[in-house]
Parts: sequence; structure tokens; C-alpha cells
Amino acid sequence: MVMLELAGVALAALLSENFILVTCMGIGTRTQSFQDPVDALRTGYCLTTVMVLGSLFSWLGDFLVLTRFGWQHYRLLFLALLIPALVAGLRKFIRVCLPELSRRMDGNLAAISTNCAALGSALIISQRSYSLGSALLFALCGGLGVTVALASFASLRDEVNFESCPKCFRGTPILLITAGLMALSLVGFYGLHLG
Amino acid sequence: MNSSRSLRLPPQVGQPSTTASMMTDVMVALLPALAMAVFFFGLRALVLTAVSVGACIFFEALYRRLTGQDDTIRDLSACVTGMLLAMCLPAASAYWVPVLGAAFAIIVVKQFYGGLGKNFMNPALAGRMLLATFPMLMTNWSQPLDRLPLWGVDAVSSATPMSYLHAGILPPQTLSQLFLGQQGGSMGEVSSFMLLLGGCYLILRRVISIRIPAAYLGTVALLALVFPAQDISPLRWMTAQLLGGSLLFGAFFLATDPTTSPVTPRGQLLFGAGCGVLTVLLRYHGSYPEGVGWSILTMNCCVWLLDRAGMPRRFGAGRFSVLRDWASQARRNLAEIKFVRPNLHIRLNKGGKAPGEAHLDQIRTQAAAYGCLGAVILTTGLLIFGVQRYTDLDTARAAARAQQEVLSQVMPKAAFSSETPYRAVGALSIQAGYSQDNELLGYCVEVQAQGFGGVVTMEVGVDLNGQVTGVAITDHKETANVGTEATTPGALARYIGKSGTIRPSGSNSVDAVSGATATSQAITAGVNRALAIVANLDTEGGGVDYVDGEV
Repeated sequence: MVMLELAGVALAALLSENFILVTCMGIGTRTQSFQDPVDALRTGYCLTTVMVLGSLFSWLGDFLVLTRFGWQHYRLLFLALLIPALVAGLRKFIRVCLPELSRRMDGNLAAISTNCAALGSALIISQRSYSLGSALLFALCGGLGVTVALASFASLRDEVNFESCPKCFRGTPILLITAGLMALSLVGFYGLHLG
Repeated sequence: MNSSRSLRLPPQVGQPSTTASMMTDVMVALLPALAMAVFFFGLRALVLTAVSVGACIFFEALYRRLTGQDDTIRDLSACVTGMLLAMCLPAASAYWVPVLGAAFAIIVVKQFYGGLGKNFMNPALAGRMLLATFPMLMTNWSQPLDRLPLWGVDAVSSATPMSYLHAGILPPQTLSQLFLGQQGGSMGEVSSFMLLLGGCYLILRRVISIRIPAAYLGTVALLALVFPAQDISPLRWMTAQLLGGSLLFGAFFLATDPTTSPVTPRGQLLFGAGCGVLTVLLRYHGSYPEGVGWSILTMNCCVWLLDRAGMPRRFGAGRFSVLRDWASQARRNLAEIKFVRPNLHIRLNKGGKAPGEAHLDQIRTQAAAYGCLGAVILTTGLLIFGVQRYTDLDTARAAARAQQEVLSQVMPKAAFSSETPYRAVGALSIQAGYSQDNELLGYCVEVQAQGFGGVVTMEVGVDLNGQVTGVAITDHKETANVGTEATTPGALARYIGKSGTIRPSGSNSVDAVSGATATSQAITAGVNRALAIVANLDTEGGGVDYVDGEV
């Protein structure tokens, strides 16, 4: 029963509530990640890490402090402070301890400090009152879903010619149409439930 | 001398392999299924197909003409798209439906990316699935042999085999009926026999390879065999899954589109298997009864990935050499990242040296920055605190009023309600309803059930005789004007007075609201659960606990 529930949460985060294509929370990722597959993967990894850590801390904060003292109305403020602080701390740690990693990923990590996927996943977790296990799984699978969506989107550039549409659609419009088509294929997973 | 001419001895039969000849083959393969559709659904099927093909050709020519590109009607790809699109539609569709689908398929999905061979998604299927997202359009399935008039079709709705399979029971059709096509469904997908005939023709003519259909059907068959529904023999379940719905049509005609399927043999096998897994997942657990279209569209987005994964290895290279190269490169890549021990100096007081002017300046700027942040946080916190304090009482009052409103809906005779010490599996709360003179009237149980778009939360009032006194929906995620048809007061009033277990049909039943079947089923399931919980309140066991002490 518990396994089934966890699997349902994981599938929802991966497919039917994909943070890029369906709920569109991760769409604020910097444009470079939508164009370069390597950059897309790096952003995806960073986002996954931040989402998992963020959901861990937000769950703990929510459970140990906010709910206990009935301070739920401070939740948004708490999350809005927690996620950027977490990213700043992570950046500092990586810069000091893993300089090579920092050279590669610092830009991506800096860009996601205001990403709605990181903030939104933490908020969704507390709103739906997930248990700690499903919260972590939700964040992990949500991050993986973002990584896959970003990477497949970025590498579609090599496969598909975005220049053959009418001039007024070139650039961002055709990218949005492509994202819309990919999202259309995920409509079928809406309301997927196990058990 | 022309190098393409064969040096073999005559007589020879020339077989030109062009795009147009391939497309003609596909159309020929579709003809038997189309003929069967005309037989089952009347001439309307033929007219719908003609409209769809005409619309596809029109939009292709129009786009090409407007953008000043050369004409591509003669490669017949637009005709095939039109035919495939029409075959996926219910025979009772209005005539504008294929036109809309054709416009989307040809212009947006195909021509925006450069035309034939350059699109990444199957145009016909994308058009069909766009139409499926329209509420009510893809639910009016007509009965076979119920020949439709050419003009003015009533909204008819009959259960397709897929809706039975989705509910976990076998469809009432016999095996031969399913095989020959006497079942409800889209025009082209009903007759499995004719589809198999067309598929074999395509494979023998080498238009498609057998890998994708074989992998697709094999995966679905295997998964259906391993996970049959309760109390149904696996073999019968598997045949029903294979023959029902658009599986055969999708496997032979939609998944094998050469543009949007992998070219490497291993990639094709992976593609078919992926489609199969997603199809079974959606059929078993999705909101829609059929998952073939969605799964093929999803796999279309991964084609480039599967092609990379299925790349044949170079001659002479060892097994898994590509994987090994990749792993060693990744290892080298990761080895560059070294952990540097941080040398932390945590000292509050820097070595007794008096801070200089420069240091003071630094501290001052830092203090200003942190001071700003602190001020903003403090202001926001105070603001939230103030608003919360100010609206505290109103919020509590509004909550109490909402609860009273729900109570008046689920138990009109009750004046107030209070918490009970009962806890039951599946009930969010159980409250007792009392009349004006403190007399126990019944219980209000808050339950949840899975609807179309998510969880439906409802409160069900049950009186002491075990009869429903009212149902109120407190939260849902159903589609407005479609799923919500089942949550109107009129629809909910039909549950009042029911007791025992409410069934979908027969005696003691509440019919599903047309077009909102999933929502209706969710409400019925919730009411049934509430009835069962109340029936077990006084008995030992039965999943209801009595919790002493704090309530």
C-alpha cells in the first residue's frame, strides 16, 4: 500500500505533473539551458539537488516549527527565504570545497536560485501534507522529470529544423509551439492514479 | 550506362520505390478497414474520410502556396494523413472536426517544421489527440450496424470495449465480434481482422518493418498476461486487450510512420516496447480509457534518444564498447573534480589587532546590506502577523459558516453537528448530526474518491436507518462544464434515500451522468464507502475504531 502510494507520487512528479511541460513552473530556467544539451543536463542536476534539499529542509521546518506553533501563515515567507539561502549556501560550499565543479556549474546554480520549480515543489509538498519519504521522492522525481524534459528539448534542436517556419514564428514562438506539442503528449497522463 | 539498372537477366519487373508509391501502399492497406467502417457505420464514414482527406490536401496546398514553396501534393502524404486522421475519429463526429484536426496536423505539426520527413511528431495522431482534449467530442461512440444518416446525427453514446476494460471487466462482445469489428469505437479501429490484413500487406510490401508492431503488441500481450484483472483468465484478458481499442491500428499504421519512428533496428524494438509499456500503464491507471495515442505521441518525443541508444556498433568493435568508452570518459570527467579540504578559521576576534579604517568601511557596507534584508523580512513578517491577527476571527467564522452550509446540504434536518470519537479507514472525518432538541439524526462522513482529474472530496450524510440524506462536494479538480455536470445539486439529489451498496446499473442504481462518467463513478464510490462506514459504526471490527479520550 505504501509502495503503491510512493509509486503514484513518483509517476505524478515524473509525467503528469512535469515541472517544465505541464505545470510550467520550471519554464523560468535560463534560455541557454533550452538550447545546449550539456547546459540543460547541468541545470537539471542542480535543480534536482536543490529541490531535494529544499524539500527536506522545508518539510523539517514545516513539521518541527510552523505546524507545531500554528504559524502556517508564515510558510510563504519561510520558503521564499529558505530556497535562495540554500542555493547561496550550496554555492559557497561548492566554491570552497569543489572548485572544479564550481567552475562548471556555478552559472546554472546561480540561475536556479529564483527558479519557480524549486520554490513550487517545496510549497506543493507542504500544501499536500506529504510524508517525508514521499516528499523526498516527489522532489527527486520532479527534478529528474525536469532534467529529461530539458535535455530532450535541448537536443531536439539538432534533430529538428526550427528555421523553416514563417519568419514571424522563428525564435521563441516555434520553441513555445514545440513545448506545447510535447505537453500535448503528456495530457493523457493527467489524473493518473495507482491503486 | 545508367548505374541504377540491374545487371541481372531479363525479364524483370521494375518496382519504383518513391514517396508516392509508399503512400499509395499505405492507402491500399487502409482500404479494407475503411470498407468495414462503411459497412458498420454507413456512408457517413466515407464522407467523413473524404472531408478529412480534402481538408488535408487543401491546407497543404494553401500553406505551400502562401509561403512560396513548391507544391508537394503529389507525394500523397497529405492524403495518408487525412485518411489516418479520419479513421481515428468516431463515425458520429461533426464534419468540422476532421477539418480542425487537419489544419492542426498539416500546418502546425508538419509544415512548420519543414514538411514531409522533418516533423518530429506524427501529424495525424497529433491532430486526433488535440481533438481528444476537447470535452465531449470523443465520447459519442455509435453502435456498429447502426447506420448513421449523412446529416444531423444525434449525440449518441454507447460503451466501447475499452470502457469495460478500463473498469476491469471483460467486454460483453464475443471474441469473433471483437475480431471482425462489431464493437463501438473509432471508424478505422473496430475491425481487427481488416487491420491485420492491411498490416500484413504493408509488411510484405516492405513499407514498414515488423519490428515496431511486433515489439509493441508483444509488450502489451506480455504485460496483460502477467497482470490480468481480478477473476479473469489471463488469456481472455490478453485477447480482449489486444483486439479492443485502437491498439492494432496504432501499432501498424501510427507507430510505424517512418519520419517519427527510429531507423536503427534496436531503436525500433525499444520504441515498440516503450509504447507497449506506456499503453498498458495508461489503460490500467489513466483517466482516459484508451492510451494508445498518448503513448505513441510520448514515444515520438524520444525518437532521437532511442536512435542514439540503438546505434549499431562499428564492425570489429567489442560488445558494449560504446558504453565502456562513455563510462571511462565519464569517470575521467568526474576525476577532475577534487575535494579540497576547507581551512576554516572561525575566530571572532582577529588576533588582537585593532581594526583599521578600511576594515570598518567593509563592516559598514556589509551591515547596510544585512540591515536592508533584515528590515524587509521584519516588515513582511509584521505585515503577515497583523493581517493574520486582523482576519483571524473572520476566517474562523467563515469556516464555521461553510461547515453549517455543508451540513444543511447533506442533512437538511440537522441543526448542528459535532465530532464523533469514531475513526475509520478512508474517512477524513465522521461527524454526528443533531436536531434542534439534541436528538441524534445520523452521521456525516467526509470521504475521498478518485475522479477524472484528481481526488474528489465529498461529505455524505447517512441517517440512522442507513439511508443517504444528502451529498455535498467540498473539493474537486474535474473539468468545468463536463465533469462538473455530475456535481450539480440535481445530479447529487439522486443519491438521497439510497442505502446498501449502490451499483452502476440494475436495481438500486444511480446512472452515470453522460459525459461525466468518471466523476459519477467517483461520487458513487464515495457514497458507497460512507454507507459501509456508517453501517459498521456499532459493530466490532469492520475497519471502524472507537478512539477514547481526546477528540
